[in-house]
Amino acid sequence: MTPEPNGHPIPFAHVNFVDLGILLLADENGYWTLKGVNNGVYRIEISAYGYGSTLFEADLSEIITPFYLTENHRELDQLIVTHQGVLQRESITAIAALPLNDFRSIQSPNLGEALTGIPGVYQTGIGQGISKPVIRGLSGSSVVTYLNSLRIENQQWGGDHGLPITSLGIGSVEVIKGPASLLYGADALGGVVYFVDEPYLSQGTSQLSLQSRFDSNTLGTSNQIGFKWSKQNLRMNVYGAYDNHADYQLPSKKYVINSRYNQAAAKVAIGYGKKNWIINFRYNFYQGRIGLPGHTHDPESNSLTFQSAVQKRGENVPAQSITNNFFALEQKLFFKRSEINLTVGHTRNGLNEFEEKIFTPDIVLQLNNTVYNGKWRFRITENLNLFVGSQGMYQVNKNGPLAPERLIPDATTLDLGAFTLFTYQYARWRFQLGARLDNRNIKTNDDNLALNIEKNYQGFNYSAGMARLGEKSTIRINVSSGFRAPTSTELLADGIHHGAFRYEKGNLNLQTEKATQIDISYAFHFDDLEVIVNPFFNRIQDYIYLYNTGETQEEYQVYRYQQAVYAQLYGLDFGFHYHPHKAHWLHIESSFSTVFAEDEAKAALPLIPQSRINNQFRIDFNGKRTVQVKHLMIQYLYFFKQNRVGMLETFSPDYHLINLGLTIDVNTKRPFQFTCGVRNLLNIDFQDHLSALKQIGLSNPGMNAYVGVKFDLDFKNK
Amino acid sequence: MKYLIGLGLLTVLFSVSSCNKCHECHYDGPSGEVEIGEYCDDELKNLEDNGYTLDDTVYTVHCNEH
Repeated sequence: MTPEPNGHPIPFAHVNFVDLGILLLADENGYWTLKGVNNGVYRIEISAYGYGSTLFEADLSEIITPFYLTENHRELDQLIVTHQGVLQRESITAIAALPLNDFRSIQSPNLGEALTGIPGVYQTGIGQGISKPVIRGLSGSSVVTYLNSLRIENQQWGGDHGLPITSLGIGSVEVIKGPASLLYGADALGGVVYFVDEPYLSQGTSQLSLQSRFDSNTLGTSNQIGFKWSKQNLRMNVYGAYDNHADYQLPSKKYVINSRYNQAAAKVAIGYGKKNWIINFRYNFYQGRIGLPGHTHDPESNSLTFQSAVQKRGENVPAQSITNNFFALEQKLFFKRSEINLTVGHTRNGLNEFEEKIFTPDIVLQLNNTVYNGKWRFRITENLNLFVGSQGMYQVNKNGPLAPERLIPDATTLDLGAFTLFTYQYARWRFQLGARLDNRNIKTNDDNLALNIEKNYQGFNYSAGMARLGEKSTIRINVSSGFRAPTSTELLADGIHHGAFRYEKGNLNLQTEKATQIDISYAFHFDDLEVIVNPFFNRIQDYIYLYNTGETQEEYQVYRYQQAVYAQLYGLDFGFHYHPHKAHWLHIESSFSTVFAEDEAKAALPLIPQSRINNQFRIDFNGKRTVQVKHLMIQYLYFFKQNRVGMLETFSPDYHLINLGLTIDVNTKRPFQFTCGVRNLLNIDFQDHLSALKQIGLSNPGMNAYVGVKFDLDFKNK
Repeated sequence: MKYLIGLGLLTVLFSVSSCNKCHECHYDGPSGEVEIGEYCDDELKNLEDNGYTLDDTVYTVHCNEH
């Protein structure tokens, strides 16, 4: 590799075979060798420090070397390859990627908070331990989570059931904003959160990494260990982590009783590749005990009832105990003009909710889910591709036989779907068109029900879009649809949901929700400035929502699932990234996100996030001292007031937050990275509009100072 | 390698060690909350399952922080 024809070689460039999951490191003369792989057409990404990166498809039997990279001292134009194997910038759908476990960014207390770095993505939850993403105003059952190619189910209908994984071993997350049922199946109505594991190491190397962080607000510790190893055809990543946080501190210096949590996670990925075949086995384990604040027997409680002057971390109730085991076996086969991807997997989510007793849970739910996900890609011509795929899921939801409470009945769900998608490119133009058919069957088999039910729901979905990739500007327009069948909870719930502080009642008459979104994006990019404007309009027919009936049952407010004729969510994501030519050390990034939501009567929908401005300034330092400051980050967030609220919902005032972060490299014999920072620097007292604790008057956490350290020990395999 | 072995041993030791579950308990008596002291493990579980008996009256016991 050289910067230009007849230029000097570029040493130590990374050569990433995206489809094969093989990462190679060029030598000091820019040469690299790939062995044991059949000839075929593969996507190759090449990058090197101080140079731009490039992604292209190449036929290895006809490959022409050398490759050239453009010298680039600016990181503005960073190329991000999505899990679909296309550049984020060239994707026709609204997809945004965010690296995780990145010490260059201000550290987030949990995974849900980290996702809010993406415009249009917010979080809802209960305290620090429970956090789940909100995409353009939709969350819960309307958002599908994938871990690599494995669909994850974890009773996500519950407002108190957070993300089922930690950031352990996750390299990046991609968020598809809006309906995306074409590729991801039923329920992808609001969007998809797609987590991508860290890649394997380059061939012939090993790495041991240790990472630790302390958060002052919760006196919390987060520790993780990882080991990566890669030989010619066999590769492996293994991780373990444990986090423990005490009750979080409010800006008033008091603590929210029982907001404590602890969690352990482990992860294994083993990959093997030979000629035109690749297989990956992935296993994820999660065990967490998460306190549910806001519990009292005092009939005349107020927000002070739930606060204490003493910070505790001991086991308490109410609490959730969650155990997840996720298995996936991914296979890829490459041929001259086509490739096949097939994933089979099983997820097991165990949820125990302890309400009054330390030892005996009141709610016990076991959710087993077996899935397959197959896709065939055929290159009809150099510019025209055909994708045909099918996904299926068999889900068994079972209550513990001795559990005294049953919020939802025992039920099985069977999903089957198939799709076809064409993509075509002509000069600077890209087109895609696809359609999909789905069927969902829900059947209850619960002896406690007076009448068991069986229902079938069908979905027809499509996606059509085009993009023009100009030299200085990109425009794209996409129309996509999604559908979501009512869950067994929405149909049949009848009980207290302690985690959500309400009595929930299902509705057997619910129909399928159907969404159609128009998403337009215009971006222009110069050498030192990139600007993107992304308006959208999402209309959901037969929108399902929880309605506060104003009644009480067993001392809890009664909420009932209802359906509006339609709801519409519309808004805008706007962002720019400025990296001045005369100040290479400075990055200024800013985004604005807003979403309006209303039903057919133009009445505001509840739980719609506040509009948000996110400004981030990053200063890079390039010295080579033993102790070298590398990055200084300052983040300023402004949340607009939310006064468009649903019935019986209270409005939220505006507020602003300042976060700081610093990264230091220590270049000793065994180098390591050090990070520190402060979140909510001004100790602002605020209640996020989407926080479940807002309804009992509890604020979000006050100031939190953190320190972290990361060691990476690299070895060459013998 | 010594570091790795030491780290592995520490992890195993940490994983297999267990801690007692002890909690201060109380019941809601006729004239308000009555503290009944700290209970641990099996004793605590029995108390939660069977309640606290006083003068032939069985009270439901709460062992959580409020």
